[in-house]
Amino acid sequence: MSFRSRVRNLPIRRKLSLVVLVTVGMALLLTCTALFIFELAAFRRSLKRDLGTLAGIIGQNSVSPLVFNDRTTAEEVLASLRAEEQIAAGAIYASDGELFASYRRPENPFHLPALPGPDGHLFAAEFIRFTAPVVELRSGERVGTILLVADYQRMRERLFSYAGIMLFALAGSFVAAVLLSARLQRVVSDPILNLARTARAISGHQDYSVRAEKLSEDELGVFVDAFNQMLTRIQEQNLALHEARDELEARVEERTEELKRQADELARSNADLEQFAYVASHDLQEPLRMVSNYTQLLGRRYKDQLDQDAHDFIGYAVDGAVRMQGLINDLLQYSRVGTRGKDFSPVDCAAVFDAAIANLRHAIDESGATITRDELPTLRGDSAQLALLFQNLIGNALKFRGEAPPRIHVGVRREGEEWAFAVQDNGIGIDLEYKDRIFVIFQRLHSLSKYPGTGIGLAICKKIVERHGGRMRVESTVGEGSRFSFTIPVASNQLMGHD
Amino acid sequence: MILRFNRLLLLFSLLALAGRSPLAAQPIPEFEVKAAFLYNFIRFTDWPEEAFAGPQEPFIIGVLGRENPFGNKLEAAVRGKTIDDRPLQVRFAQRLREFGQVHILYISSSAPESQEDLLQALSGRPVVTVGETADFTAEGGVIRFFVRDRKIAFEINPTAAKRGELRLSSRLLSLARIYREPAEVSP
Repeated sequence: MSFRSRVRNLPIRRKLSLVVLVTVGMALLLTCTALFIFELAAFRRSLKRDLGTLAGIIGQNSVSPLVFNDRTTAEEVLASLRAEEQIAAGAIYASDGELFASYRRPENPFHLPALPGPDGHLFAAEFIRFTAPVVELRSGERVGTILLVADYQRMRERLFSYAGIMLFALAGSFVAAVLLSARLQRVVSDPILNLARTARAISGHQDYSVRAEKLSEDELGVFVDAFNQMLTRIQEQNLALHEARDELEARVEERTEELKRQADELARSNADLEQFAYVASHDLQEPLRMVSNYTQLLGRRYKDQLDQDAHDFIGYAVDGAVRMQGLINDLLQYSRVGTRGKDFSPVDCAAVFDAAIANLRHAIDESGATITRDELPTLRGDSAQLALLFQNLIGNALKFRGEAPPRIHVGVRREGEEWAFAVQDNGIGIDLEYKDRIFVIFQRLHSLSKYPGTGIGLAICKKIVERHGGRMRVESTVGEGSRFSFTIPVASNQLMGHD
Repeated sequence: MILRFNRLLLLFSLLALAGRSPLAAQPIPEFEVKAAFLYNFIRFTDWPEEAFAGPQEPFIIGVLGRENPFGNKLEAAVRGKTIDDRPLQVRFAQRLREFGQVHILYISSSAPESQEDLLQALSGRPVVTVGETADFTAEGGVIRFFVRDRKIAFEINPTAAKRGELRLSSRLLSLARIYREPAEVSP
């Protein structure tokens, strides 16, 4: 882990302490360094000044020994430098540059140059050398040169003691900073830690009724207030959410109940209606048979007493009765799809198809039709009704044929969870304007004289398909043919059989 | 020029140190050193105000005697130099009265007048008298040359200087041997 991320992951208490310590440390270090540099500069400055003063005094005292060529006195003058502990060596040169007198501190023998250098200061790593002219003031004549060498021994000693003091101060300040920051950082860290504890408690127990304690009026105080306000809002929103959910649940339940009631009612009324239709059509047959029978009896028994008009009328009445008989039979058949259906069982569609073809044998032979089929599946359903379905669709195709001999194909395709059947013909086709009407009971598109029938076939087909849980539709082009397609679920719902 | 002079002075000092008798064997270097000393004495001496007619008046170096032992060394030593902005002049004379104003007077042993009379006459006047005889300071002379450790040294009679209201620098005095006058002789 890098130093940065390690610092970033430190607890806030540690972070604050670290900040304080680094700041204090830096400040102390900078202060000490500045003091050190200042001290160094001051020392050098004072050394320079001292050297100048000393050189002036010694120089003036050396004038007379120089001009009177008294080396002994000159040595004595230089020997007074012994009192100056920073002076390592001194020398007086005659005006021609020859070394006239010299002094070396015994414990620090310093090599003196044979000739004086140029006047001024020479700063070296270990010493300062100061060269100055010796001038006799009254004549203004330069009578020689003085050279003083100061080493840094004393400065070093002083700086060492300085460094010691600074180190001591640094250590002391650091300890003080550690102790103080441990106490003072709580002013900042306590509210934050308090807040963090509260936040942890909330996220741990989902308890939004907890509130953070406000310990100060600063930014953290504002933060705590905002945090608490947020908690209040969350609490309120939670409450509102719960209420809304409860209300919604209640409404959904209510609505479901209502829908179920309506569905039940609808199913019941539908069943009632079908029962009514069945009963009505069944019971209608008996009186109709009486009307038909007695009208025919009337015609036979009073054959000679009745004129031709009466016979015609009797014929019309019998026709109407027969037609009504057909209508009632169809109606019975239609209502039977819903009320007299059998439970679903595995049905081999190929066998069902064959049964339908057998029933239509006469019409097929008469029309010279060609009927083909795909490999048909076995599925769950009502075999009698499925046979009726195929029979009606193929019969329709034979009935509404065009000029050419009919070609009919029964196809099937698996589409997801459904079998998609299609009965394709090359008949007269249907104007799609009427495609919804053709599935409605007793709706006919053609005159009775052209195509006989009650117009119930497709209505029954639709009802059978729907009972098996499928859908039915038609595609067609007038004069070219029609394609009736229907779907049956692969796993047909057994329940549908009861409806 | 100054440098050249000093170098010469040094050279002769060294020769003096070398061991030969400076008075007998090296007369010319000896007087070159003495000429420089005469000049240097002026630098370490303060005269009273009345010793000069004006602020720009020169220092007069007098040499008294029948012959001039310095030759032209003295003129060479002071040529072009000034002390306290005053130029320096060298005068030779056989008799004291031939001098007008004089500030430092070298009295040669060849002077026709007696040394005692001369010093008597100059006593109390602001003139630095310089001589070489053994009893020169004892008779009231201010500075006497002598040889010590084969080097030219000098003896000073501060009482005589004081009589002439001359102030000799302590730096000069510290280099000199001091002659103390007996108590009854002092005024």
